[in-house]
Amino acid sequence: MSVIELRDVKYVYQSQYQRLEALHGITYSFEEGCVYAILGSSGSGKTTLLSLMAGLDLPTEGTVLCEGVSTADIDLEKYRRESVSVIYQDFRLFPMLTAAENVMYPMELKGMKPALAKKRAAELIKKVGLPDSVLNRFPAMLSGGEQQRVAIARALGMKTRILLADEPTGNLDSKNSEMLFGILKDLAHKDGYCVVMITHDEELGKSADKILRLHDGELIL
Amino acid sequence: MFVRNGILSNLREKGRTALFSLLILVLTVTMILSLGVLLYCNAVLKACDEAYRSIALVEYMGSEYPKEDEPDEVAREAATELTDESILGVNGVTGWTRGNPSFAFAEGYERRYGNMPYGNRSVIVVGNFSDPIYQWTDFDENGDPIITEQSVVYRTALLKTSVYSENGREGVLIDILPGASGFVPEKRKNYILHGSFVDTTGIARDIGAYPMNGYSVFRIESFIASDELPYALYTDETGIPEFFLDAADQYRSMNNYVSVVPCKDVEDVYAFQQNEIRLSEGTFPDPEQKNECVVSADLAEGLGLKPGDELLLQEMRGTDTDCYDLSLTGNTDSFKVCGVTEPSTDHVGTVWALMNDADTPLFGYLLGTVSLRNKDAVEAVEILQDMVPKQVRVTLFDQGYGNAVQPFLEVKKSAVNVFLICLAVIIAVLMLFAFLFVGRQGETVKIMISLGTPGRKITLWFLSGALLICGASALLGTLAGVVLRPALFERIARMIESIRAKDGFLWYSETSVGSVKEVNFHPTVPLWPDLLVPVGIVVVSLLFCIFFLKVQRRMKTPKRGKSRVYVPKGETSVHFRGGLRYSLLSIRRGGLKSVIVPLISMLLTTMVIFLSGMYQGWQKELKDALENSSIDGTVVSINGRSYSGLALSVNSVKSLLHVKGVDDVSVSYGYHYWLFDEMPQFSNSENGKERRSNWIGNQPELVALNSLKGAKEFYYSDPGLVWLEGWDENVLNGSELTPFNFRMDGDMDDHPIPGVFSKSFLEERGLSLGDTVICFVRTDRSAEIGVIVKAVGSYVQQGSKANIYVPLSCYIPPALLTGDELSGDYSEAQRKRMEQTFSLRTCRFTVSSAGELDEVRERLRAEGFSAVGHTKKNRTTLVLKDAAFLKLKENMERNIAMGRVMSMMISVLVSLLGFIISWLMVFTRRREFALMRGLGAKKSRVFVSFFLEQVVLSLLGCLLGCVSLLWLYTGGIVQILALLIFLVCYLFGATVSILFVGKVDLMELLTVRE
Repeated sequence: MSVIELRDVKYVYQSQYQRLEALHGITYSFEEGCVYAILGSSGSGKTTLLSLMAGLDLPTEGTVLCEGVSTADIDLEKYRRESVSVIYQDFRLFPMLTAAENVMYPMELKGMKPALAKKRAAELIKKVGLPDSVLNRFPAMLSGGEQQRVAIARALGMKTRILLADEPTGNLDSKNSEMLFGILKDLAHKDGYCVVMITHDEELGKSADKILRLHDGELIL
Repeated sequence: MFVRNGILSNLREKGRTALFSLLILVLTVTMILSLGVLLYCNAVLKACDEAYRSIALVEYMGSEYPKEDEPDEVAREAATELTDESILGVNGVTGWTRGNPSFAFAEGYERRYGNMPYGNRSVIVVGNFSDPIYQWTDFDENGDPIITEQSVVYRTALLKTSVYSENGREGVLIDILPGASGFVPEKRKNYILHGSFVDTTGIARDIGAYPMNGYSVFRIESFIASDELPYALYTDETGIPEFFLDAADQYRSMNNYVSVVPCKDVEDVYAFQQNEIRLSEGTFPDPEQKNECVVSADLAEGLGLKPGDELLLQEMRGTDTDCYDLSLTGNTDSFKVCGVTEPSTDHVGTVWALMNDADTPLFGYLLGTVSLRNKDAVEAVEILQDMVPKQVRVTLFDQGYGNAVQPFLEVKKSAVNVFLICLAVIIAVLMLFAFLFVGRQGETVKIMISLGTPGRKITLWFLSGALLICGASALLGTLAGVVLRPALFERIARMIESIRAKDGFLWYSETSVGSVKEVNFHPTVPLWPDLLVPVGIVVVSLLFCIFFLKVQRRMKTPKRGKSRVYVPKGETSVHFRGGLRYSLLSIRRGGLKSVIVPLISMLLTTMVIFLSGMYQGWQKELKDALENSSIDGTVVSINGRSYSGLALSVNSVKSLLHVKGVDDVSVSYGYHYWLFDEMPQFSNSENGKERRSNWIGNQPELVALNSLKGAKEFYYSDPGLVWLEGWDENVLNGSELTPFNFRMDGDMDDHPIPGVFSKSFLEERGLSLGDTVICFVRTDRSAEIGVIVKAVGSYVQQGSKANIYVPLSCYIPPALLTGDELSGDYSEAQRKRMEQTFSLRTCRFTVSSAGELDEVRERLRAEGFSAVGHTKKNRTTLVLKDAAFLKLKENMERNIAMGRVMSMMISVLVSLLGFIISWLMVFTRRREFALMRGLGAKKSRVFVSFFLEQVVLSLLGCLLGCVSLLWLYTGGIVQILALLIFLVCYLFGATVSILFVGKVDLMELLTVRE
């Protein structure tokens, strides 16, 4: 079943000096329970595409549909809060919040009580394979792999059906990369998430259920 | 390449570059202008210092002040207490000349006018005597004259030869009074006589003699301190006896004396310093030289002197009791004449000579003249006033220097403050500039290091950009400042001139006593110090840049395993919810950030509170001073030099009493008194009568006054009063006594008059409080009456005379002064006559509220009272003792004005800094902001998270500031406002920053690298 659909999506970076069309009318439909890998060289428009799917912006032309509803017609904040989770290459954890508090943050955004959110965060941290000792540590005290897993736990805490990952293994070694990918795959296959992953790693890409390639803003299937 | 890239990388930071360029430009202009104003003020102050001269007169306020030839022992004692070392040791004192008079004889000089101490004494040869003529004043019932022993006999005679007389007239008919000499001439004989010509408008009129040829009455008198007869037969053979010739010589030298004013610098002599007299020829002597002098016009004319000539003076010296009882000491001194004064009747036969202090007894009350450094003059006078004995007054005469430089000092102080504030701000700006343009360029430094760029080239990269921005802005600012400078100077000069014109002469103020000079307020101001400003800015900016660059290079250069990472201890929190929770967590774990913000807030608010507190304190102090201070005022002689011995009309006192704001008008009038058994025996001759009269004139006074404040003795000292039980000072203001003038001659009143006696007077006579004393006084009607005075109080005597203070009603009905109804049956005409008859010798008053001082001045002007140097319709001249108050007020007002400007500037600056800090605190956390938004947090929640954090941090800082200044904090509205302004600006900065960040595209934000 299509969870997120792109219809003729175009995106233009317009500045005082130049106009750059990053995406040229991309149309594609992403389904749940599947891991997608979007591969492409630098400047091909991968991050732009992910940002549009994450609801950080709206396409210049075309539509991004989430469960049949255009992102242009919905509250993007709510969309980001309730429909989509993003994992970044540089983890993007709050530096002054502990791992548990980082995971609790989106739960609290949804109105969950802190005590309950703390309990849930502990479960999620455990789920991503981290020990309890990580709970009270700040991001600066964690390794890259641990931070990325905390970021995944935070994404899981949002209870969305779409999980977007921007180069999630970019800062990780191969062992951690494999472990992370395993988690993502489990989330898709076992929990029915639609996982869309941007990566340079051809090998990792091949492990995905579907591979999409972007070249100069055009999708090559 | 590196220079170009460095410049380009800075220029491409358009907003930041423009902001800092503008800031540096504005601050440079302000610094150049403030420095220019500072230099301008310094130049004017220097010009003033060269143009003005400050001196202080040290005077003893004795009973006969300001008589210049009074041999007052107490004044002499006070003079001995003043040592040269102590006076010259006071900071600001440049010279000290004692006031002891010095006299000399100049061969050929004849004094034609001015003070001639023995002007009437003469030695004459007379003949052609007439028969004796009786003088009588009483007649019997038949209309015949009653001839008694007291009837005076005189003869007319021809003045044949004037051995010595003031005008040397001969061949005129004169009346000869034998006095007590027993002179009875033989007919057709000539006699040589010693005596004096009598003022025919005085005694001679009383005895029935009439003036003829101005020289009509000659009274034969005994030689002073000599047993020789005052007359002798004269023939050509016998000639004139030697003692007559000696007397004539002595009178000649005494009356033709030359007054020598010893001084260290002639320009510092009061008469010259106050422009009483000016040079008409030549110059003032160089103070470094000796035996040079300036001579008065009449002396120069009499001796045919001109600048460059030599003047030979023979020293003369008087006795301890009479400075004019002169005789030659045999010492001579030669002086080179440098200058000659304009003709002046006040300065006759005077030589102002560079020489040591005269080794003569002190006469008069001028203990000496202090030369002062202008800028330290006020403080020096205050120190001297504290140093000198009681009753000694130190009066500053600064030719208006203080008033002239005051506005410039204020402008200078403002300029210094503005310059210092700008300096502090520009250092902060340059530090921030260096931090942002170099210190925050860690990534660039890292890349350069990783690419193996030599340190020198990295430095070149960063410094070239910084140099361009700072150098260009500072240079442009300097040019603008230099162009604007002349207009600013002109504006300041005009402003100050308009203030001076507006203030003008400060009526009745003691600060306006003395002559005033004018100075050019348009001096040339050097330009070169202005160049230091841009150079300094560039150097400081480069130093900061180098510092931050070194820090960056050290940080970014690999440490070979020595790098350390600090990680705070964590603990999962479940307290609070939403934005508040995040903000509190952020504060708790913010590390340095959470310390820096409250610390800076604390420092800034402390500064604001401190300044505003001081400002408010000054305001309160000024308010208190205005409300609680009172100013004493005195009626003085028209030249302001004397405050006693006046002839103040009743109507003037009435006018003064009716001026609103003038209180406690204290007046006095003195009668010389004597105790019956203490008067020496005097003969009944004319000479005896005159000597008796002179003796009475030298006795202490029975002073009728309504308050001891009116006694001149207590103007400069505390009376140290002790009262008999049941009595107090109110007794002086009572009104039930009969004035002396209304008493019958010899009336011995059964009801004693209450009086305040000198403690030493009582002790010397074995008297105590409660005892009575019979005093004799001579009333204004020349009647001598005895009055019983009861000692109801005692005071500590300050002068040489043991005055007795009695109620004013002994002299005048107080109702006459107040305008109230007189007790007794007096017609309006009688009252008017009494008002015209009575006069008062001293008058003091109080302006009880110093805050009303200006209004009181206006009211006094409206009443027509005169000020020293500004005579008006009413010649009663007033001086208000307002110098200390005005100084305090000026200081307070200057502080308040300064505090106001500083508070405003600091408030604006602090608010601006608050804005910038809060802006930076939020703006540098854009990524955090974006992350929240990326996770779907509402704008309001993000706003609350950041805003609350800033609220808590800034509030914490303010509270710490308040606590740290609890001792100063008065809870005034000013402090609260200042705090609120800071808080509002800080939070406004945070709000604007949050809103601004919120406007930026999320995708862009997420790519920001902190």
